[in-house]
Amino acid sequence: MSDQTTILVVDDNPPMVKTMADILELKGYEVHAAYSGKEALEILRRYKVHILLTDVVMPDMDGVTLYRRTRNSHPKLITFLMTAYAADEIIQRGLAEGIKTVLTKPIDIDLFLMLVLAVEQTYIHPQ
Amino acid sequence: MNNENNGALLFPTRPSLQRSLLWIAFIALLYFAAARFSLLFVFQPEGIAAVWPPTGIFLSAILLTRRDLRRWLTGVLFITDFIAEMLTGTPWVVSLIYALVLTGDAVLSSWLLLRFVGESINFKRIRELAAWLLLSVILSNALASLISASASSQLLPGTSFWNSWKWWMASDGIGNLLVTPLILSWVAWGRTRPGVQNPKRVLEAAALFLLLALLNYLAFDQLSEYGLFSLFLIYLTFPFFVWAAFHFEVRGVALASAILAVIAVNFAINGRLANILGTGSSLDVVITVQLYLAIMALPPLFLATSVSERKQAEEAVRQNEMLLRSVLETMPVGVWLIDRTGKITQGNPAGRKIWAGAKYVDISDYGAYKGWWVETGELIQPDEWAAARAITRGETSLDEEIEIECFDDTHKHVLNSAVPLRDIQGGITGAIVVNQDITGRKQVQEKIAQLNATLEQRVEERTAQLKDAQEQLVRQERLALLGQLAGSVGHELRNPLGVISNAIYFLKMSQQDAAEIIKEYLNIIEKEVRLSDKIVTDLLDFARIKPVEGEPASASELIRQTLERFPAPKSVQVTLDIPADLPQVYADPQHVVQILGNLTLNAYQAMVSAAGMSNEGQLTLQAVAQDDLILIKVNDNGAGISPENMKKIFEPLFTTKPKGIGLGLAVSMKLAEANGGRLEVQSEAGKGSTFTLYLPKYKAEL
Repeated sequence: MSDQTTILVVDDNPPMVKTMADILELKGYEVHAAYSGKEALEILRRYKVHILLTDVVMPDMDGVTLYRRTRNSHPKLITFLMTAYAADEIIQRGLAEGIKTVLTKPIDIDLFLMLVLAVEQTYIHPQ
Repeated sequence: MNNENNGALLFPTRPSLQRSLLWIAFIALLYFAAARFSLLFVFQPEGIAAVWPPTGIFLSAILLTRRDLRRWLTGVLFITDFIAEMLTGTPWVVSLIYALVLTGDAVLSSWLLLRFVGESINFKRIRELAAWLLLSVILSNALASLISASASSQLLPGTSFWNSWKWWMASDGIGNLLVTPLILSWVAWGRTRPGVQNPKRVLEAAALFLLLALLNYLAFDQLSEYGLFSLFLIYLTFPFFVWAAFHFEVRGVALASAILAVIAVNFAINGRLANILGTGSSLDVVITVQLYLAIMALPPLFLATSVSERKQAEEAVRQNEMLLRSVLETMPVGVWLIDRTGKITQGNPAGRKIWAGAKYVDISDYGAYKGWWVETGELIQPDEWAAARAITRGETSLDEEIEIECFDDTHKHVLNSAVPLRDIQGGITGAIVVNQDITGRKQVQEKIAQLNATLEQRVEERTAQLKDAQEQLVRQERLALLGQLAGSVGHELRNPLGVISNAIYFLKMSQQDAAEIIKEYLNIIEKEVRLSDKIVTDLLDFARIKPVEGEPASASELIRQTLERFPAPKSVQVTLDIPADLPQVYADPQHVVQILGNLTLNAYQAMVSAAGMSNEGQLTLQAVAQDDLILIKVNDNGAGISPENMKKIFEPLFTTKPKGIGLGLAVSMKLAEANGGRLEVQSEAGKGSTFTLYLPKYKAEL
């Protein structure tokens, strides 16, 4: 595989996934899209993914649960949450368990891109 | 009087058998002694006693004895009499008849008296005296005499019926006349006046009776010497009877009569009066002596009784006066007595207390009393006083409310009444004035009125408070509902907003060569999305304040961040006034930025809306330390806040802006409080506003 950073965007709202994915692709990232936790796990099984950006509230499983399911199989996966709520108990727990940060919708894309850059430099392609 | 004599009377409860027997025995003894004694002084050869005291003893004894003992007493006295008669040698049949007659007389007398006068007879009233005289001395005695005279004329040879009747009647009558008042009046006196006597009175009595005895003795002595010529002498003692009647009442007269009887009978028995009549018949002497005794005794008895009645009446009047006096003195209202001329003659203590003194003036000087009609406030003229009207016109006035000036110059409220007093013919004989001091009552009434007023005010205040509280409650319910709605709506809106926001970002990024108009419109959309997000954020924040994550933070840094996020419009000039050594605040930085953001945005809008706009907008952000607090002031020279809006601006859903849902300041206040601070505002419409955010100062040891 190339050095290209791969990002998985998960949200039960398809337009959110599409816009997010388009922006990230335009920025030169390889992007996978999933519309549920189950789909996300399927993609993770098939592809190498560096960064997981997932919605918190989804019908089949919430973002934190999804993160927990990836803990053993993908210990290096960097996870970001995005949510319409600012503070939620489940989010706090996720942050305590190793999720990097939580972004409030509407997402400040510039901030997110900066975070991705920082993650790339620190974890994915350390200098 | 010794105790034994009136013992039965002193104990209203049934006396012991022993006591009753003693009482009866004592009476019997007394009776026997009197009978024997009287029988010693019998005119011979007729065997007639001049006076027969046992009759009076018998009657008195019955009247003084308890009802249930009377029949026993009567029986014993009957036997006693019978024995006494027998002992003088009277044939037993005659003795029996005499004893029966005497007993019958006493029983009939006492029954008549008890029936027509009553239980207690003490000769203090004319009616008692007259009744006793008629029923006992005359009627009963006359009937008894008939029987005994019949017996005498039948059984004793040479005895004429009528003579016998006359003698019996006279000697029994005199015995009754002299003895009954003596015993009953002295017993009555002993019962009412026990204890030590005034020595002067005793001395006076002794002098009176000794003089009487002496004078009487001398009179009889002279009479026996000079015969009929000196008959007037024995009546010279009459003034002593009058004296006795006035000073010692019936008991004095009775005692005087007894003394008289002893002396007179003594002279008669000894035959020293035999020659005055010239007939030599002892019976004539007896009749004369008896008449003398009756004449001497009866008028003073009536005099004494009327004196007693008079004294009783006087005593009753005195009692009445005392009662009246004590009523007047204890009455809590002022009472003034006014005579027929209108002169004030008397005032009771309460009256003098009300006026702080008294002036006993004539009707012409009523001006000495100063008062005003409460209704009109006019001075009361001397002839307008209720007392004056009562005297001159016979008017009755009740409870006229006046204000008076007392003699110690204090003022009082008084209810003034006056009633004229009239004699039987209806002529006015005076008046009574009554004053009631109602100053205290008046004050209490005023106080109550005041209290009522305050109470009303309090009720109003409380009602207003309750209304406020209710409105608050309604608002809170509305807000709770809003909170729930906001939570879900916010969440649902943020997703589409997030998508739009992303889309704009994508378009701006991918269409960098697009026409300017497209870019401009993209910017417009972006700005409006941001505003929408702000509204959603406010809504969500209001629905649920995020937990405070307090940390030390620099106020100037937070202000800087705020201005960066919410840059001032071009027309507004921003001034910062932050001391370099300002201590850090301890608060959630995001919250502080949010609060300051709200305040600055409001300020911008206030200045822009105030502008049509002559001068530039001036925004001053100032921070100062004060005690344990850091104050951040946001001052603008915008439109200001009208006084009626000042109270409401921190209430949720209050807004003056065409856009906006009125949550900014409410959320800011909640956030400030959540961080241990508060938010205050000062404003003047047209001149601008200053919002002051108080935040806790960071202390290292925290």
